[in-house]
Amino acid sequence: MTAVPASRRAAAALPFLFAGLIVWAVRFLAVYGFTAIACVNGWSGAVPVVIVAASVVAIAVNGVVIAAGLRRNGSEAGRFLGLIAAAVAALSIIAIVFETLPAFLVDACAA
Amino acid sequence: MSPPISSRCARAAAVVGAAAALAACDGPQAALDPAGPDAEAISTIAWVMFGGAAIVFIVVLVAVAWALRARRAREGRGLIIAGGVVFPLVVLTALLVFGLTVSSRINAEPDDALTIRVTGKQWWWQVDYLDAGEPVLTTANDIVVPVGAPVRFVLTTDDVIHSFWVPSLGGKLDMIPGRINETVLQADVAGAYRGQCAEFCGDQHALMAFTVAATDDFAAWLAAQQRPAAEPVTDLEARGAALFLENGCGACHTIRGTDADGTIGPDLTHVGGRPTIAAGTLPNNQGTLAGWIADAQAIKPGARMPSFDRLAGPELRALAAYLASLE
Amino acid sequence: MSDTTAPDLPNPLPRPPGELEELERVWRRPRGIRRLTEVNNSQIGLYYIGTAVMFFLFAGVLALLMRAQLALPENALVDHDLYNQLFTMHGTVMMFLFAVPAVEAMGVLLLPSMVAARDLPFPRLSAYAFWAYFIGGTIFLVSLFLDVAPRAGWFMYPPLSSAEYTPDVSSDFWLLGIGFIEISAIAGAIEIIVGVLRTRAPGMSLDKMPVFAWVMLVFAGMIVFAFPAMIAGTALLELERAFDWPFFIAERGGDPLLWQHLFWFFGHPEVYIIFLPAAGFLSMIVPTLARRPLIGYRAIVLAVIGTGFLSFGLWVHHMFTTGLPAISMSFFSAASMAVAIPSGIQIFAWIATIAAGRMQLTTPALFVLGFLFIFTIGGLSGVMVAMVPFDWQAHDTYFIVAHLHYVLIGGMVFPLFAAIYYWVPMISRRRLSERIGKVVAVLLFLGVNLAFFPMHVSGLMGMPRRVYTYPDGLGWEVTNLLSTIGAFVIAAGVALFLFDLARNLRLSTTRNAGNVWDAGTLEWLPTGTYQTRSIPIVTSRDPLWDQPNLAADVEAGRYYLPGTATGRRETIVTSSVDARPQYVLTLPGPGWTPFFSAAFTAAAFMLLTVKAVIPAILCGAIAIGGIIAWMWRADIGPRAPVDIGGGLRLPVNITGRNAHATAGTVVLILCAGTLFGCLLFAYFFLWTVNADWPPAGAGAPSPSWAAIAAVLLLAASLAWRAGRGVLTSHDQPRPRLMFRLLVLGAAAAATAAVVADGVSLWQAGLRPADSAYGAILYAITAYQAFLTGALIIMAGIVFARSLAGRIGGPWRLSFEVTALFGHYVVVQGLVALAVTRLFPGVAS
Repeated sequence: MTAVPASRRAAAALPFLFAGLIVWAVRFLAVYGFTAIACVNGWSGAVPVVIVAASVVAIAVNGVVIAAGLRRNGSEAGRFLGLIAAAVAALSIIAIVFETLPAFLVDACAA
Repeated sequence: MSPPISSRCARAAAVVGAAAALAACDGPQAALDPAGPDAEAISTIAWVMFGGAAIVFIVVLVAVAWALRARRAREGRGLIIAGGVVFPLVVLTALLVFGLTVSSRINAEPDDALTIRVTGKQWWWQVDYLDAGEPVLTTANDIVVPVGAPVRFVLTTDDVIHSFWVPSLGGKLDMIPGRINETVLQADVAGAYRGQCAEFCGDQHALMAFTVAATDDFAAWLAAQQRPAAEPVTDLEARGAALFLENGCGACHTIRGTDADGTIGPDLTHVGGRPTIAAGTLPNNQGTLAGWIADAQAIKPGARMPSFDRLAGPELRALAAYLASLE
Repeated sequence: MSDTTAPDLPNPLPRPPGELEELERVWRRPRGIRRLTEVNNSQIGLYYIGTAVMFFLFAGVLALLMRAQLALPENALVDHDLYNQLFTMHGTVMMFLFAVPAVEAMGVLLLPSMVAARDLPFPRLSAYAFWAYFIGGTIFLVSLFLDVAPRAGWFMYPPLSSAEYTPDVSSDFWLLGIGFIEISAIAGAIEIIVGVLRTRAPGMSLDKMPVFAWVMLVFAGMIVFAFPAMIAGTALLELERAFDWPFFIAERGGDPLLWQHLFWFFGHPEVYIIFLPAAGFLSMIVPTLARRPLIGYRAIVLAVIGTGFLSFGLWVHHMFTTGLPAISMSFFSAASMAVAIPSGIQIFAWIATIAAGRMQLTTPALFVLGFLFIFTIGGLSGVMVAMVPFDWQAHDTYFIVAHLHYVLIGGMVFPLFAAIYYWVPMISRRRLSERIGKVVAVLLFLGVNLAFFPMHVSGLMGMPRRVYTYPDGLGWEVTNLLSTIGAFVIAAGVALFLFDLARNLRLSTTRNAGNVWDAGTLEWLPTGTYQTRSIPIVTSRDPLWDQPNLAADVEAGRYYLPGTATGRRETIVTSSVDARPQYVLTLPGPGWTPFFSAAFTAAAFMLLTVKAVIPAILCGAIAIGGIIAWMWRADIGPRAPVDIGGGLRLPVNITGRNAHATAGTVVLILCAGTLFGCLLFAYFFLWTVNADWPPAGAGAPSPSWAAIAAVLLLAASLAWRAGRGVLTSHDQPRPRLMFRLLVLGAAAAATAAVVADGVSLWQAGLRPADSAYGAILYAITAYQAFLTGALIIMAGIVFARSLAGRIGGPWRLSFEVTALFGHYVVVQGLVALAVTRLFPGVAS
């Protein structure tokens, strides 16, 4: 029976397709949550460092996703999914870079 | 220094080519008619963005017009990458860096500034001038500030969410239960600027306005305001003063120097000197004062102020004369 | 047609006599009053879109009243109280009763034919969702005529909407009515996700799927993650209003901003939830009109996915004036810039497609061009308000009113009109008039720009939104008068559109006008009530363009499943990526349970609004009874494999992880998990605003009760596992008693766990009304209890089915979804205990 492996592959297909943006979302929530807590507790100095560090990690992970996506072969649909997953990760990198700029330009906890 | 506002406005309007844009430049409550550094900075951002938006819009329209005429164009992929990715990426990055830089300038905090606490209430504004955190003067709706000096506004609310907004001086900031928000505004030009509640706050949200007057003679104004209310001079005014207390107005309103010490409604100690009544709803004169007392519920239905329609015409005139005399 | 049998088509000609008649018999639509029993998605889709258009007209009339009032300064046409109801209802009805249902309706209507399924996998769920929406929405409208309509604005900010400042029932109408309609939207989303992933025609792998199907997949996924936030928010606010649980009351540790976070975490994606399907219409319409395949298909798929995700990172840009730290705001400002990129990609892909072909200026084309003009302006003003300082001026003014109408009318209404003019030939004997349609397009275009462009100026001149009147002399007179004139021009356009509909719309499934545009996608195949006669094998993105003779072969029955293989309604379930046929799914026919369940669910919610608790509980019980009756017949069990043509024998109604019901349950669990996540967010958020957490004087619940609850939860999970083992064991006779005991035991353990949790809170002296801390702890426990209640009902059904011999061996789908849900309840319970008992105790 090939049914079970096929379904496992299918179940993994969508998360892989969205992997780049899932990374983006995790980084976004982590940074937003950390900033909120840091500003309440007066750790404003740590904010830019944490933002940049989180971005570097997230971009690195997305780089891996891009590489994996572009390496995908197999059926036409499989290649298509790999390509879209890579593009999604690339778009995520753009969003992450945008969202890192404030670390250099904005005073962390000023109102 | 930046060029005079009106000429920049006209120039920018010419660039954008929108007749409507010119109209938006002046008015007592206009965001693009700035009289202070915050509004000025935002106005600059606005004009930069209007110009940029006009260019982007024209690019898109030209692309559509080209596409409609084109036959079997093969530039598809290039067009999507150039128009859909590269172009917005460049424009948006530039805009983001510009915006973040300018906005951190707007956020700058002065070390030392006059502090005014404004408390939003359904549907008027209580104004407390603070010294070391303690109120030294309580008034309502019509705020006076010194020209050319930063003023720190401490914003709170007594009931629902309101939003404090004087477009000519700067952006708005919400008044939220349980929170204290602060903003710094500065008026560089003497004059009166209109403000209005911007967050929907119930029945009379539309009639919750106020004014900010920037004066060169702030110290004198403050000293005058801190004095107790003027004694009635004429018989009519004296009758009005008596009626004020007899009708229980003092249960809600304070007139310092009299027995009236209510805190539900606006402090009326110097109401005669204010430009408006009923939170910017009516100009302040004896006629409108009498009309407001007689029929507040018709003018501003739902407000806490009841209609004293049981008072006869002469009584209303006396009350109005008294209140108008409280300068 | 050639009569040589092509060897590569699965079924030979001629087809056996009676095959088509049998197919027609199975799919025959009920007549008369029994139309209410119809569950077929294509039919429900028509009801759905018709209802949405009705709500659009209603909300439009409200807008005209508002514009009439604002035509002149100090106008006295409408008083403040009515005006406040008008704008609250206009916004609410347009967003919740028109925009989302309209695009969901288009999905339900178009998807089955677009992917050549006989129907989507859960027809009764769609029927239930529709009737809940129809009945709930209608009652909601009636509130306006009884003067009890909500009047706190469509985003219902507390404390204005709370019991203290709105003591009457108007806010309850909104919270319960809209909360309920959200549930219906989620039901539709589950149907759409599983439908798109699992009922596509064989060969329609993900890379060949129509863009509209991609878009609806992302749309439904966004609903699954966005709407639970709204449900969480409305539930918390209703708990506060009804029982004084102070989530949003600052004096007792609550915070009004919590509502704003929850509302906008839903509310911002909502805009894209509305826009993406409309963009999907365009991606179908533009290639057809340009007579070229879509340029940049992959770019558009990327853009749709990107927009779907990034739109969740924007919610705070509705809160720039609340005094948040500058850096937090700047993240959202940056994210707002990032989301503009995928929109740009889509716009330029359509432009490139137009350029690659030759677009005839038909009515849909005019609406497409109108879209490009209006939506671009809306997008540009959107970038402006994403700039934090500019938003400090523009926020809550007519500039925003202008922006949001440009976005929503440009991004949704124009595409919807294009879609109606484009797809009416598929459902009507006559197409709509091209001549009238062009006038409609021009009137709407002029009206929208005349009404809304001047509003930018009004806003910059200082005019706040939601004012029922304004004074003379502020320079707002001219722009307001122009806006009013524009609004009536729009109304004229819509009236003319209605005239066109009345003259030309003649609904017909079987004798429709057909493929008048010569389009390339499957919805234009000849159809009957059973959709297509046979289910095609797809090898291209535009099958009707690229696969010669496809329409004729499909109609002749030469593809898969040309008749009914099981004697019931049925469709082919395919694998989600490659669309390989996996099994034949039998589908339910007409029945009363969805209609009655929906009617009584609506009644239960509406009775709660007026605090008629006992009748509400009775109605709720009847609704649940209806759903139980429907679940009883849902899982008919596997049948002998059938031949669908070409020697392909497929199993019928499988069980296990490939089953459609498993997929549906997974989506439901994602929804439930998101709602739970929102409650956890509320917990952490309230922690950040309270210096003392738990507040001084509030006892901390004892850890020993929590430990007992955790052990009970783990035991429940083990019991579900053991139950599955018993059910699949090869022992003969099967140990049925053991199975039943395990099912009951699992449900009982989960119940005991939530009771232990509740008892521990009570014993610690916590009361929900005392503080926000107590309120959120009880809310989390109450939610766990709610899911446990659902689990008890599901377990009861499994138990009863076991008694009735309707479960056993391979016939176990209803057990498997129950166990899956049961495991989820365990996980959620454990996380809740861990967070509320360990945090912030361990953190500090």
